[in-house]
Amino acid sequence: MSLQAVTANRLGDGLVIYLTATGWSEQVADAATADTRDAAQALLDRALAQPGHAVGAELIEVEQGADGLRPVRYRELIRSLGPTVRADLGYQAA
Amino acid sequence: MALLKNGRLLEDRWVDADSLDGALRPGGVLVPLELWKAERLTLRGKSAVGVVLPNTADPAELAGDYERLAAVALQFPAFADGRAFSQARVIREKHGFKGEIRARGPLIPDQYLYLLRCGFDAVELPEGTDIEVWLRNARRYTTFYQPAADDRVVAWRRRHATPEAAAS
Amino acid sequence: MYVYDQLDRQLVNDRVEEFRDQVRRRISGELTEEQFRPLRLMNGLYLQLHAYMLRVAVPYGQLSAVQMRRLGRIARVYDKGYGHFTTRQNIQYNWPKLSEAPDILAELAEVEMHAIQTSGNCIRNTTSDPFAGAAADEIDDPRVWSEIIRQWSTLHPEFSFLPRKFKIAVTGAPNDRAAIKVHDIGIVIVRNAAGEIGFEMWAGGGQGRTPMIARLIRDFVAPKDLLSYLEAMMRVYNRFGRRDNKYKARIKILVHEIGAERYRDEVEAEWQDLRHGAMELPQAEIARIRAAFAPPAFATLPAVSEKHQAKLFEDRAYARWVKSNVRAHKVDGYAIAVISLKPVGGIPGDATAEQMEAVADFAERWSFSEVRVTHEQNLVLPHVRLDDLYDLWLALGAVELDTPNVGTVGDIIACPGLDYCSLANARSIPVSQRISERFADLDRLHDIGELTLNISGCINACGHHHVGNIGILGVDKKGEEFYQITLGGRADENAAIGKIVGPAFSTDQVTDAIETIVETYIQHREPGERFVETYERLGLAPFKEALYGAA
Repeated sequence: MSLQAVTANRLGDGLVIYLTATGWSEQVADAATADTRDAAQALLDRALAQPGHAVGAELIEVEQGADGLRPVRYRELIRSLGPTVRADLGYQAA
Repeated sequence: MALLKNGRLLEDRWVDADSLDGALRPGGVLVPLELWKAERLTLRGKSAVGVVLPNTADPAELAGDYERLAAVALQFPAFADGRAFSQARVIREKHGFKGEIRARGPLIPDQYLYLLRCGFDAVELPEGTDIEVWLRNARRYTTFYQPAADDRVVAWRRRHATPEAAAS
Repeated sequence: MYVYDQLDRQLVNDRVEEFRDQVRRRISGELTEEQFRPLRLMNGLYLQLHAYMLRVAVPYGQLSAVQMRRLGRIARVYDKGYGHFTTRQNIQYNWPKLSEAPDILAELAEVEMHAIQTSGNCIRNTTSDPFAGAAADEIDDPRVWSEIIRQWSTLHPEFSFLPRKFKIAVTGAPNDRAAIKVHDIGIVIVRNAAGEIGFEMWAGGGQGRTPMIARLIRDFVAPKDLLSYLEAMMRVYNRFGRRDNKYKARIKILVHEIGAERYRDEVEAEWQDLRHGAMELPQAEIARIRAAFAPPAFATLPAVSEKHQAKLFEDRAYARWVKSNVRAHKVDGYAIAVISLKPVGGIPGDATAEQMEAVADFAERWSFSEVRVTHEQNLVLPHVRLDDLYDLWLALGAVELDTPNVGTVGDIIACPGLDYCSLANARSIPVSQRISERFADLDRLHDIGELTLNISGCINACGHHHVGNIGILGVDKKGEEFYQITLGGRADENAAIGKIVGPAFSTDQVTDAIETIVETYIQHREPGERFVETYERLGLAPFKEALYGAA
């Protein structure tokens, strides 16, 4: 199966987060990945066990890009960066 | 299950029965609508009998029976399925039912005021439920913009003091 | 405008405390997300792509200067310095924190605002004519009835867990500027043969996946019966609306499936039980609310303003702005000024905190402190003296709010789309930006004339593309954004759903396609004919041919 990672929104402020090996990060490049069904489910289960921190956890397809891990689906790319029409907003602004 | 009623969590003494024999035992018994319709004449003779209505049923199916019934149970298959709110109002306001209307289903405390306003007076809850949240929600509001099945005074009556409003 | 009394204030304050408690219970884990979600939605708080989104209610599009100023403050203090005005006359903030949402609601409550029921399966913001109280064709002020409906629908115990969302719109004029025919319930204020005010009740309109035009359910309901009749309509929907399939749960599907006649019969039967009861609206309450909308103290002015006439002559840019953005007012010497939130290449409907505060100042100075929000995502100063119009225009220019494109192809209505919205399939804002830039030339824009262009980023149709003269629907084809074009939609009293013109266009092709459509209109139009009229005369054929070649 394709490379998977887990994303969610942070409960308190709603910002996009990615499950890492040790916790969560705002950067998709830090995401923990899985390439088997069981490993992916294990990641998702870890996220779902934290409803006080993460909302709407789900698996997304990722791939290794030139600058590191990146989402495959365009929607997820936008989530990882920010609105394409406001370069001054979202994570891309940092 | 327990019953939230009159501000307290009580032991629920009513039981469900799905056969005529089961229905005729002493004490409060709730029967499904289909059983009531099949055995109406017999069941009308029992005291402390109630009907469980599917939330797709028309309350008119019990027209003429409401004086004989002690209770009606209305159902919320999911808390987001609000059909029983309409059923309760029709049962209270159109059919003038004076007995207990109980809510059954995975309701949340934030719905309690709506339940009371629509004519419910009891909610089936798991034993040991902390009802303080339920009661807090019911007490929260004092402005009500629309008449319903309860006797809370509507805003427009408070604004335009009428003899009835003054007396409330 | 309506001013809260103690009862209204108490309700919004109680609501803030209720939500504060609900947020606390969510954060502590007492409430699961599944339980919390409908509660936060009923306070207008969505979870979107990048963050939470808060949709604040602007009842029937009416704002005071004080309220607009507060909206600007909220943008600045709690968000990222801007807000977005929507196709239902509301405002949306894209970056609020859940933890601060109760504080935002508290600040709104201070100025008699809220976010109650702007989402969820309940009755939403009742929308109306942004020119209410100013337009000459008005039979009665729809804000009176919209406010009555707002209160009745707020925290309605029976109708807070409906099959789906429910949207009501009211027009007070035969020229429908509230798009009532594509609402779940649409209300038209009319006079009967005896000259008495009453309401036509329409139901079953809507856009989204299955767009439909509403059906007339009753041709006259007397004012005292408005609420009881609405209750009957809502109760039939609550009981029979489908709950098995989210995409078939709106009232338009019910009316379509059982037929308008059967829906009417059910409503009329229900209404017989309700009509003479507690729902009868007391005259005193109607009078109280009507008094709140008494006209402002208009000055007695001549119909013609020398200053305004002189400036029209001297300043071509001003004349162009007046031509597109200013509408006739029913009172001599006054005008309705529409503020375009569609700068060339900008984001439709967005305004910065500074712009909101500026508009508040202008309203105080020149429009009796009143502002309106339109469902085309623009703002309105409804009561401006012709004598003051030039100064207003200069002031708007200083804050980049003077774009002279209202009602033209540059006045694009677009949902936030995939740049913001978790439901979207494609982006809508960049498409609108490129089209806007393509038609930047003002002479050309004004020559093209009246044309509505609506863009939605998904089938939910929040951009109202079905009723655009030109509609664009963003779709996802194998991971790529494509755009399907419809023609001939109308949102007015002759409401119509647009027809698909042909296969969808890629991101690179869609701007050219729109230009081709506009050029086709220019080639074929008769003198004085608007785009939609040319389309209605000629149909899709010439546009299809221009876009895709001869069949």
